[in-house]
Amino acid sequence: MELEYVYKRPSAISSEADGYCPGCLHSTANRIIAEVLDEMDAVGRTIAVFPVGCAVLSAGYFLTDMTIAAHGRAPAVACAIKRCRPDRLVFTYQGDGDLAAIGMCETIHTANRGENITVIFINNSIFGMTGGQMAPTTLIGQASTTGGPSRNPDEVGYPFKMCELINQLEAPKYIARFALDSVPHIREAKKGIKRAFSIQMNGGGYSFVELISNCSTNWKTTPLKSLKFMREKMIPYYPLGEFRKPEEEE
Amino acid sequence: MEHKILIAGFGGQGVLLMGQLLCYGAFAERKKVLMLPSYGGQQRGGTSNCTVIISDEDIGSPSVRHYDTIVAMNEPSYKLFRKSLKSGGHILVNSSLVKVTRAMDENAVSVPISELSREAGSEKTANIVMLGALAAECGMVGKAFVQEAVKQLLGRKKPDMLGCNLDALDAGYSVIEKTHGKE
Amino acid sequence: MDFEFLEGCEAIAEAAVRAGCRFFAGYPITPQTEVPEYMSRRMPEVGGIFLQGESEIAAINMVYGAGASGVYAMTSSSSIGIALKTEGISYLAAARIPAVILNFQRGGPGIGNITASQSDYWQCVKGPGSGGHRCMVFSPSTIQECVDIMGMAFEKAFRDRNPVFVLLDGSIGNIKEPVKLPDMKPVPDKDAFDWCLSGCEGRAPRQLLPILPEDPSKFAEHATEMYARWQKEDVLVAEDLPDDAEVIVTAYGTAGRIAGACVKRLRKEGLKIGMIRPLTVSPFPIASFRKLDAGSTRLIIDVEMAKPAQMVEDVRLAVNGRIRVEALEIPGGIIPTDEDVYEGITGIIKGVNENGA
Repeated sequence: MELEYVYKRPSAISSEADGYCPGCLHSTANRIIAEVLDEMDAVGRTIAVFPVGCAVLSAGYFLTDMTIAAHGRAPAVACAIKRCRPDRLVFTYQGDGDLAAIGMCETIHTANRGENITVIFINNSIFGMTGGQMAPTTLIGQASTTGGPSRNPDEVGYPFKMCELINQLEAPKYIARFALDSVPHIREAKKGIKRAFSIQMNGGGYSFVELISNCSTNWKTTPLKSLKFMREKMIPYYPLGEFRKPEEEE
Repeated sequence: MEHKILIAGFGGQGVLLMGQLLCYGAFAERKKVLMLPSYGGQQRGGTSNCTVIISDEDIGSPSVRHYDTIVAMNEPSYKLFRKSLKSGGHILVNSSLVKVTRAMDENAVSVPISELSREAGSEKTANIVMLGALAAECGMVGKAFVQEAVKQLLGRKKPDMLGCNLDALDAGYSVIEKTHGKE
Repeated sequence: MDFEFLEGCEAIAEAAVRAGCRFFAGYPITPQTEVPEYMSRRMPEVGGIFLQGESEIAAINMVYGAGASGVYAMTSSSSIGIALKTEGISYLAAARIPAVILNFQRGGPGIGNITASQSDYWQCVKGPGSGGHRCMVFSPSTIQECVDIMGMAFEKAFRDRNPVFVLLDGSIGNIKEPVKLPDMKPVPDKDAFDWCLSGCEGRAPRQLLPILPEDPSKFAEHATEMYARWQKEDVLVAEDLPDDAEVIVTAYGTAGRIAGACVKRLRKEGLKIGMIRPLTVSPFPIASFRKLDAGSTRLIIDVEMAKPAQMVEDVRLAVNGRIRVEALEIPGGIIPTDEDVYEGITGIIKGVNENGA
């Protein structure tokens, strides 16, 4: 009897057990990216740029050509790789501290130049690797080890809405926010990543995909409760959807 | 032998062009050459000057304490740089704009570049008159090489002006020959 | 005519293009803005890529991406701009990505001034960024030397997979001299480098990681071995050492050319004097100093456009106390005249003669 594979490890993900905290949705984000690469038959043409922060752990599990950029600089590195090798699929994978704090300048300018790369942004509203410090995306009222038990906007301002910010620019071609809290949302996210990669491989231009994620460890909660926090607190502040997409896609 | 020159004036007087032409002549003659252009801090309307060093040996510093020869295309340049002239050196002044005579400054040589350039056929050649005077004064570059530099750099762009330019160059040379002949 | 009369910045940029540079990222800063301006015109003509970074930091990271792709990539800046790039430079060293970096030094610290200086020797030579790595650092004195070095700079960067500096200053960038440019070299095939990122089709994936592997000694051993090999094979130095030299002058870059002219003058005046002019300050020409005979040479004078002098520390290490070392220190931001250096050197000699060794 011949058995059919209905579910298997994507070819771009190594068989090594990942080192993310239990319940962390980075592994889900890694997996759907790798699935898209398989579906597009693009693993051998991909160059990934990983950041500094928890997201850098991905470098240990992806089986593509890759480098790691200095904290916040992934878009500058990626855009140069893409310009030198325009037929390759080049993406960055960055957390919120990396992309929206130290790397805000590179994030905005790379988007503004309309570089033909894909930026994948994991927003879990906190600094993960260093242990729960306030991120640019930490919600009002949310606890962090440097912002106290409750983020106070009078003192430290408001959480950045990155999709909305980038949507002010002329050049980007695809801007979308998805969440990884449920199977339907994960399916949507995967479609969005595929759309972004396809736009890039067709020479379309800059794409930005934000994925609302979790950090049960530093949120000091359980993985299941973290999903609830995403639905009840994060998604209302960070509305999901495609903010911009090419006309032919509509 | 080494000769250190400063050419100073305001923008549009051809200060850098004079330096450039003299340098081309000098290195065609296989001299060592260095030019240091310098502009005022402002982007427009300021003074400009350039240092030119011509030498038989490797050139050291582009920065110069005392110049062998200075060209002052306008009054402010004369006032600013007169003190930087080596004792016994000459400061060639554009007599239309710098009212300094030999009697007032024994190191000054008046070069009537406006009049002489008109005689050469175009006032646009005023800086070439001064170039002739400068090349004659410095004595480090053969006249044929300076003429060749004028032909190469200016002749191609404005072939119809070449005759005027070469006449202007001659006129500048004769000013110095006459001046020093009298000494 | 086989010579061209070019400004330093332009000549150096063109020499890089002819050496095979096909990627340039920069950011405006005096006194080197002419380099990015030139490259913005020139790169499209040769099928290369020019990017104006949103900052010096972005520019060095663009170079990181281009180098990782196997392309001869360069950036250029000045002192404070290089300070911003140093994080990226240490990442280049760690990830073993080659690049060439021009540093047109200006007076400092801080904004300082825009005039030429040699106040950033330490910045380039002593582990720029973090982690105590080294870059090869060329230190040419004339525009012709700059132009002749550019090809080598890229070759060594790619041979070692390590960033290379060309240490310059505002004077050499802005003067014009007759220069013979090298012929246009063929651009290296980026796919011929067996380490660069190109997509893993048909081979194992490649990783260029600025992160120490589980065994940190691996990188440390590689780096230590590489630096030792430089000292044996890659030192460039211009020596002018008469047998009977009692005084040796040493200087690099613009100070080197000024001091060189001064040494010739002093020798004509009858002084027994020689010169050691490093063309690489990393690796430092230690052997040139080690071989000096302490019996005949009684004084070494280091001339620098920096106060306090910086290279003098490496001179003292090389000499190891065998010969007296004095420094003529001209504060950064001042280009000394020939007379300044002549008076400085003769003043030091006079002082030493009067006070005894």
